[in-house]
Amino acid sequence: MNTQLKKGVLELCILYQLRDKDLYGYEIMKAIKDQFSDVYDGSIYAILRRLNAEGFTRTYKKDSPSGPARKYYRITQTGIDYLNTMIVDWQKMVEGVRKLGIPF
Amino acid sequence: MKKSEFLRELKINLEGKIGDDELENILMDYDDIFESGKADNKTEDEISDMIGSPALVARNILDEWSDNREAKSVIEGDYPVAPLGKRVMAFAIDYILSLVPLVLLSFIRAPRILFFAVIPLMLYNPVVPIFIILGFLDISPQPGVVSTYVDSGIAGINIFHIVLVLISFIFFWLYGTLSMIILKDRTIGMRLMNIRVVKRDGRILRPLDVFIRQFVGKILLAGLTWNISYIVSFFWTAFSNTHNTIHDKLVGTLVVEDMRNDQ
Repeated sequence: MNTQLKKGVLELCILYQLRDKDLYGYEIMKAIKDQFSDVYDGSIYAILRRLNAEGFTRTYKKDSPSGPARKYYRITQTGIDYLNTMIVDWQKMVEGVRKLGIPF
Repeated sequence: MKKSEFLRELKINLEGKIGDDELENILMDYDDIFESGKADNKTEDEISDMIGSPALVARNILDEWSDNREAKSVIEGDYPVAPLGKRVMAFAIDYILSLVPLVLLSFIRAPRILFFAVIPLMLYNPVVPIFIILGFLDISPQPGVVSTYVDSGIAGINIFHIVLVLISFIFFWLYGTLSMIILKDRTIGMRLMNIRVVKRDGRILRPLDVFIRQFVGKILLAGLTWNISYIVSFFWTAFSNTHNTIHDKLVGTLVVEDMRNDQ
């Protein structure tokens, strides 16, 4: 998959996963990997990390029943705004592509 | 690959290229991931296959950061910079709007003592006192006669007056910040001139950014430098390609034409 496209899509998918509930790193990676099998978890992690650094998510530690405390990711209000903007952008883009006659 | 080997390789690939704290965090994150994977009944080999090679992981992490820096130049290429004339007009509109309460206040004619109590605040900005002083001059009906309004001492001060003065100053200070937060990325003056503020690295403009740009960068700085900062900004803006002012540089923003037609 084209790199730039992939990054945009992954940002959208990661933030969307976090829309309704907080997740820990492995869960996010697994959810996305299930749909995009040719994407390495390592790429997902790098984007997750950058999104966090930019303030679209924040992290906290929570004790897990099966062992050490896990780092959970939570979307911030800034992240929600960014996600909504991205969804609108994607919808517009898909519309445009479709109108050009490209089968979708 | 086993977890310990993976983490060791990852460390080697990142050492020296990012800060030690960052490195620590990343190694802990991957430790977490391996442990979560094992709780999910996967072997360490399976997990490292899912993740990718340590070298690839390191490269992804480093790429994300350099992409961010590249984004800065992308913004300048994508957006048309707002012309100087529009910026000056927007600034003028905003400045006038921010002074409205203070001007109105000057016609209330609070007692003289309040005048002196407010001097420290007035020195904050040399333009503002003019309106306050006008308020304290009693321009009587006879032409050519101007007498100063003299009132009793402390008894004349009303808590109402003090509150009004404070509110008017707070409005003057925070008008820019509040209007930009409410309108998302522009002030009222900017809205009228169809220009807006974007961050050079493409990120969203956050309330803290707005506060630093509008209050710290403009009002506070102007107050501390007797408005000279505005003059410096003006000349700097005129001679730079991207029309950067002092407050733009502080927060890393750019003022561009507002091309959105859905507003």
